[in-house]
Amino acid sequence: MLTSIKDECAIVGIGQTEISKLSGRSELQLAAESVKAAIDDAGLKPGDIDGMTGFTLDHVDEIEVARNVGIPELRLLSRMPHGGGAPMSLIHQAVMAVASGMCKAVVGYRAMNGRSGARYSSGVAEGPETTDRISWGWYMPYGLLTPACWVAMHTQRYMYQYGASDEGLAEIAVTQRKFAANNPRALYYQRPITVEDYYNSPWIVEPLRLYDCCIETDGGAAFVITSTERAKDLPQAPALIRAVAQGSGFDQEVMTSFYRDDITFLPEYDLVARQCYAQSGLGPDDLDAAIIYDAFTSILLFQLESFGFCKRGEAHEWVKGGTLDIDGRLPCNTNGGQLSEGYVHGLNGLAEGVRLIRGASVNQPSKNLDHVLVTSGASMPTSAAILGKLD
Amino acid sequence: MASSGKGSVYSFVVVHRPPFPGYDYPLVVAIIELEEGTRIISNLIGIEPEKVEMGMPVELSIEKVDDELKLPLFRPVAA
Amino acid sequence: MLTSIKDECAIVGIGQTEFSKSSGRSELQLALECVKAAIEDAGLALSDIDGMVTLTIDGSDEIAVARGLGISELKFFSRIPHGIGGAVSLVHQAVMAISTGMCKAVAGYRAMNGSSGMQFKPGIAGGPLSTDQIHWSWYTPYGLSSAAGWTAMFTQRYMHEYGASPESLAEIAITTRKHAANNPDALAYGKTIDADDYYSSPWIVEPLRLYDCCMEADGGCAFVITSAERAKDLPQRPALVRGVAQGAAYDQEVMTSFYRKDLTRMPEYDMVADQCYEQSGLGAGDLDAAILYDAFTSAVLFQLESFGFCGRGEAHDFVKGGTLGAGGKLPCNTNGGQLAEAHLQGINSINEAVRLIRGVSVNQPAGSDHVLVTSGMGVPPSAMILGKAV
Repeated sequence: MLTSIKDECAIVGIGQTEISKLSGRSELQLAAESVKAAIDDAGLKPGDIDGMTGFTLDHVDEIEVARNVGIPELRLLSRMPHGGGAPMSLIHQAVMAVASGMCKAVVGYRAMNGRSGARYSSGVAEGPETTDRISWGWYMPYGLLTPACWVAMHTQRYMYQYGASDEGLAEIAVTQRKFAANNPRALYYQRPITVEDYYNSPWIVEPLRLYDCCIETDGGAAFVITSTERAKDLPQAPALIRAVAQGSGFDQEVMTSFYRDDITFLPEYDLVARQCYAQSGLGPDDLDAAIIYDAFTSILLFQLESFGFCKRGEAHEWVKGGTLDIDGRLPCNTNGGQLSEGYVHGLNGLAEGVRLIRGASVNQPSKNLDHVLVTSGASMPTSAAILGKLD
Repeated sequence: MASSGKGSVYSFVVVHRPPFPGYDYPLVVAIIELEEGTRIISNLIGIEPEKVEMGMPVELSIEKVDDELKLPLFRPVAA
Repeated sequence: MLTSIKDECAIVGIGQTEFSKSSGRSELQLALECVKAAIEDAGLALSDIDGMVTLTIDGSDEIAVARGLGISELKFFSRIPHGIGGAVSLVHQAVMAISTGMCKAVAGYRAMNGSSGMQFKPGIAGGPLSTDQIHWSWYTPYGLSSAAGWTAMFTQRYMHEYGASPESLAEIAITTRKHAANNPDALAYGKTIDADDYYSSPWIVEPLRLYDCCMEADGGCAFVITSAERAKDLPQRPALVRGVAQGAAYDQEVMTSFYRKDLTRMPEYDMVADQCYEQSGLGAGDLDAAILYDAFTSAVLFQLESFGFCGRGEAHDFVKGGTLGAGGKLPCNTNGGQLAEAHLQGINSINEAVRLIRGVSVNQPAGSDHVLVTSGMGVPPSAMILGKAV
């Protein structure tokens, strides 16, 4: 029995396809390319991989990726539910499998034609009856159909309750697009925006504007996790997993937990923060940079508060004045985030987190980065991890 | 690589239930091992289900299903 | 780093609804009932559960079950793909989570209206384009579109290569239904069949007859797993997990791995067998009973060979003469199996195995110290060995 998985495992490889609005190829192809790239990056062979984990939302079976990449046998096959809440759950799976001796090396992946194929902004419609759909049945008739709608509901109440203006959101939107402008992989490469651009951008769902929303893209991303012991013999500087946790809070729905007493915070983030700090023995002051899930600007506020970077209701002020910029207190989403690099359900953010640990981001902060926080989606069962350097 | 369309029966089943519209039952579905070494799954036609045997030689026969669809089916090679 | 999960965790509670042809209530309701029953059986409080796991094909999210029951926080949740292969994988997940300190007690469940709701036998159609569907599109135009059809394809080749007669399938069908006839929970309770019944039952897909096929059912089952240490303080005799494994082998498809060189064996079963034996330090000779996944009778043959109860190609002889009966060499599917208790995609197998360890099966053989449980055939399967506390 292990009491903590701290530093048992490390991310030793990352792989990504290009991010685009039209990949021109199948999701299977994107998955296979990114998985192969991650295995190559790790300095491993397909035959070294013996576990795979992915998203329930992915259309591409792990056994199909395995067949196409040449991975002969799998001892772990699993899927993580709840869309944007899943990315760090993949890390959670991989760490459990390796630390419990079930597997030697696990690949996690996500590949989606999120722009040229099915788009999340098109709302929820047909499909088999699930409990999610039953929940959503209470909102859909009134046109509350998209993630932007659901997040806006929490955001509006937060702004009212804490007297928050939209200045904090504008700062997040502008800062991240500045990062993206410097990142050749980003859809917003060489396309910075100004505060004025932000305020001129159209409403999507008030209080969220176009520039508060992530972009919809095609792309794939993957990672390889193995034991820290083995990582020492591999070519890349390992990103040790100091902590990784999942969390689902009381009265949890998927993006629509509207019946809680207080909807200005998300208790599932509190739960993953508590676990990450307990496992790692670290606190917010130890975290040097962060990849914070940013399907929408406002969800950064909830996460910054749950992870204790500032107090409840203060994040909208805390982010102002360059806090999240490259030389700020907490350089955040240095790839441009999902707002402006691309939306690969958080696994592109994980790759950036690993690059920050390796010192290889295009927007690498000059200060030393010992620990990087990486989180997953808001208002659903979620997950988070703390990455660290090998001592 | 082009296939000669010739092969043999590697395994087969005779479907009785549940019936779907558009098929005649009992329906023979077989794994055909093609001469070139790959396999294809298809129907056997021109043979009674009880006469199908493992290893029997078969050959390709493109059959028109309806105005929009043709399928590659297989029939026994004439002795 | 752990080197093996052997005896780290134990199943401490099981729960189930009734099994029927028409439950008359929602799948969520079934899930709530069986999970609640499992937690109560374990002697735990709802607040003790901090992890939940189910299958991707289950329509009831763990968060919906948690809300419905009043479980406040979950620190672990996941889904297992590929349907029928997943039941024992739920145990695999729970054991990993507990043995790595991620959570304290996990409830696994599967609840389905598999008879009155969506049935699996009408075949595969519709839905988003997935890689499974791309494979199946090579077979469905020819009418090979059901699990029975896919399984029959492997079975025919097995029978041909090893000279297996239908007698072995008949023996499995009859023995398993004898077990069910004695089990009030079973759909086939009170209904034995004889060889005449078997041979006069209609073909479904040759070489499989009606009595070679499982019974579609409504129902739900759940289990609770915690650490072996904690299990010592709980009311039920714990079923220790000696070994548990998942597997997907080379050139694996979902039920249609037709392009492998040899169709008379399933290498994914070999994989899970090897892992279970390696973790547990046990071998086939140590196993006293088995719950083998039997959506179709012939599935049992492949598994008996992979787990080493007999040589390759010999299972069709091995099963003859009462081997799998309650008093036989390897009492098997003592609840009536998927064939005759209920087809709940293998989740009910876990409950019966726990009953065997507890000594409370309706068809309890003497001395069940180690029980093998498998799930799935043709898909990536899973398996475990349960044992008694020493």
